[in-house]
Amino acid sequence: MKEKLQELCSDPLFHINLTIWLTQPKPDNFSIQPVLYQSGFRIFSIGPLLSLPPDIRLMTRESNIECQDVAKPDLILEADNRSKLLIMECKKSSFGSSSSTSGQARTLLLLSGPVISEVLAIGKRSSAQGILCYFTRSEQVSQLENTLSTLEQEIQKANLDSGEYGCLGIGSNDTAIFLTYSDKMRQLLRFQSPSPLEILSLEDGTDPRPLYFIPYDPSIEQSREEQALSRRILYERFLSNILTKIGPVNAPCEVVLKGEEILRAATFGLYDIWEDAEARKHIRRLWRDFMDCLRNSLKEEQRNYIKYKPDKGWILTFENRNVYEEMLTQVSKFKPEFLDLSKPMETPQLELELPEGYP
Amino acid sequence: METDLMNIIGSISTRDKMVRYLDGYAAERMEELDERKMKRPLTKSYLVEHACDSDKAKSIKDIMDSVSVPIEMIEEGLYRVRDHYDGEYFGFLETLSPRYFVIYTLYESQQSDRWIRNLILRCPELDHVWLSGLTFNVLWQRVVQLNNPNRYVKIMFQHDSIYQVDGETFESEEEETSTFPDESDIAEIIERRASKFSLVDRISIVKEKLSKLQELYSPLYAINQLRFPSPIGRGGHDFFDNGKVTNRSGNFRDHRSHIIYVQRIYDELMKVTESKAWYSIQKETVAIPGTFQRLVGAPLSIKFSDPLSQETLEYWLKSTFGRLRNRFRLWGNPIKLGPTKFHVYGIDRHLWQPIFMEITANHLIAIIPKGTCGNTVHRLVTNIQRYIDPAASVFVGDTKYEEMVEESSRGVKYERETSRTVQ
Repeated sequence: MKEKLQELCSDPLFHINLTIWLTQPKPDNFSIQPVLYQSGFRIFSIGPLLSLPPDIRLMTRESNIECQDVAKPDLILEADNRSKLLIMECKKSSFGSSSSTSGQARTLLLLSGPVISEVLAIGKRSSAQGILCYFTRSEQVSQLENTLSTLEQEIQKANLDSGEYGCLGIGSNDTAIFLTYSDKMRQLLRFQSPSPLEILSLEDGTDPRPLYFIPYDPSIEQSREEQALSRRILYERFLSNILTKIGPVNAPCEVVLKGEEILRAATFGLYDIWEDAEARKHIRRLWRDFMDCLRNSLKEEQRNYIKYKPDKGWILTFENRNVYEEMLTQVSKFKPEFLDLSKPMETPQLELELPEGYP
Repeated sequence: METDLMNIIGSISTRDKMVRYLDGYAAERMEELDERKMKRPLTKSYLVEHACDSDKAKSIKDIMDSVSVPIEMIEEGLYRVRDHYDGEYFGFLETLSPRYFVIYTLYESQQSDRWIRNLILRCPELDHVWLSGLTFNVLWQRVVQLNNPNRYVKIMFQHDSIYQVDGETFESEEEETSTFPDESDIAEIIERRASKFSLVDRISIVKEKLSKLQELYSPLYAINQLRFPSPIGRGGHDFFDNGKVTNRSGNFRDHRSHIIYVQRIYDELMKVTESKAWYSIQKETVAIPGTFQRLVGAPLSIKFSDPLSQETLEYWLKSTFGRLRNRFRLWGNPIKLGPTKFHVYGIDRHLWQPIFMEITANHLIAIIPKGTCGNTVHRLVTNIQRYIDPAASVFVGDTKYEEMVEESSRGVKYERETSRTVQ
C-alpha cells in the first residue's frame, strides 16, 4: 500500500485533479481540505496555451536564454479579483537547469513575471502579481527549488523579470496525505497552517484519490497501473455519455455517436485544448478501440444495428422499441473493467489518412 | 371514473369553470369527510417538472404526444388529459411555468399514483417534484409563520433502512415503482428499521417539540408529508415528498394557491442548485492563441450522521448499480477503491444525464455536469434521507442545503389567490 501511495503521489494526473479539488468549495472537515479555496484561489484556466510577448521573446533570443515561445501550464488559479495569478505545473520529479524541461520552466518563470496580466489579457503589464508553483513529490521540492533559483538568476542576468516561485510538495505518512511548502510559499498562498499540512486522511487499504475531473491525459507520463485506471475512468465516461444519447430517444429512430462530441464530454472539454496532435490521435484510437469492443460484446443480432460511417460516426439504428430496449440493456451491461486497459495504442498506417473527425 | 364525472370534465370549457367545479367538489368532499361517508375520492394534484434544457424545452403537447397521452386544450395553459389506454379523462393539466405543470385528478390515490408514476417512468423529460425531508423542514417553518399556533398540523415521517443487512434481503422487487407512499389500509409487517408514522398536533406544540425530537430520534428528519392548514376553513393541503398534493380542505382555489407557492419555492431552489452545482468548462476567448477553459461549479456533499456498515454500503451499491431499474434511478459501474470507497462515473437513468459520485461509508460526493437537471440532486437527497440516513447533512459547495431552501423560500411571497398563469 505504501508503494502504491508513493506512486500515486508521483502521478501528475493525480496532482492536477487534487489541485482542482483543493480549489473547490466544500464544508469544513469533510474529505479533502480545500486549502486553496480557503485562501481565496479559484480556477482561472485549465491547460491554457500562453505565449511570451514579442519584446520578451526578442530579449531572450538576444541573451541566448533557452526557453520556449509558448508554454501550456496545467492550471492557472486566480485570487483577489484576478490581481493574483498562480501558474501551476505538475511534475513527477525535479529536473536540472540544463535539462530539456528547463526551457519550459524558464518560459513559465517569465510568464509569471510582470507580463502575466498582459499575457492573460486581463490588464496592463504589472497590474497583477504572478506566482509560479510547481506541484511535485515532497522529497523533490528542495532540488526543484534550487533549479528554479538557478533559472531565475539567468533571467535576471538578461535584465528580464520572473515572478515569485516555489513548490508545493505532496507526501504521505501512515495517516494522511499532506502538502509541504516553504515559509515563502505559505505567505504567497496565504495558508493559515505551517507545513506540513494534512489535506486528506487515509483509510486502511483504501486508495485516497478523489473523483477525477480530468480522467486522462495521454501527454502525461504515468505508471502502467495508473494509466490503466485512468483509461478505465475514461472508458466509463465514454459509456455513460453513450447512454445519455441512447437513453432518452423514442424508437424508431437513429442515434449518431460522434467521436469528437463524446471525447469532448468525457474529458470535460479538454479534448478541444490538447494541441498535441499525437495526444488527440491517441485518444481517438482509444475511442475507436472502445467502440469496437462494445460492438463485439453485443449479441450478433444487435451488432447489425450499429455501424460506422466515416462521414458521420457510429450509427445506431433502432427499427422498433424492442431493438431499442435490447440495445439499451446490452450497452448498459457492458463492463469497461474487463477490457484490456493496458493495451498499447499503436498508430495504424491507415490512420494517417483519416480526418480529425474519425472516432 | 363515474360517467357523470367524465361528462362534466368533458364539458368544462374555461379555467374559471374548472376552478368553480373543483371548488364545489372540494366543499362536497369536506361535508362527506365530516359525516365520514366518502362518496367520491378527494382531489389530488401532482406537481411535475419538465426536466429539460430551457433552450430546448418542448411544449407540453409535444411531451405528451411523445408518450401517446392525449391532451385537449381548454384555454391557454390548461388542458384536459385522457388516459392513453382507454381514452377516458384522467383530469386536468395546468402549466404553471414552462418548467412545471400540475395535473388535477379525481381518481382514487391508488389509480392516480400509478398513472402519474407510469407517465414519468415512460417519459425521461418528466420528473416528480422532489421535496426532501430537509426541504420539508423549511416548509414547516413557513407553516408556523403562516398559521395561528392553535391550528392543527399533520406531519408524516418515513424512513426505511432497506439496505440494512440483518441476515435477510429486505428490498422488495418493486424496485423503483414505489415512489408514492401507501395510503391504503394494508399493513405491512416489517422487522427492520422502518419508521413511518404521522403526528397531528397544534402548531405551537409541534414547534416547541419537533427539533428536540429530531435530535433524539433521527428518522424524524425524514419528513415525507406535510399539511399546510387551509386559511379558509378546516383541513388543509397534504404535500408529499414526490410532489403529490391531496386537497383535504373545502376549497380548491386555496389548494391551487398553495401548490403554486410551493412550486415557486421549488423553482427558486432549482435555480439556486443549478447555478451553484453545475460543473462546466466555460470558454473565454482572449487575444492569444487558443481559448481559456474555466472550470465553474461546486460539488454536492452529503455527510452521513453515522458511518454506514460495509455490508449496508455494499448492499446499497449492489441494489442500485447491479440492477438496471433501481430506487435511486442511477446507472454506473462502481470502481472499488477500498472496502468502503467507490467511484461511479454514472448517469441519472431517469433523466439520462451524467452524474459522478464518490460513495463511502461516511459520505457521498457528487459532481453534476452542466445540463444535468437540478432535480437529480433533490431526488438523491430525498432518497438518501428516506432509505439511507434521515439525518444526513447536505451541502452544495460550502452552503448548507437548508440554507438554500431558506433562501429560495424567502424570495417567494405567500399568495392566497394567484392570478392566472400561462405557459
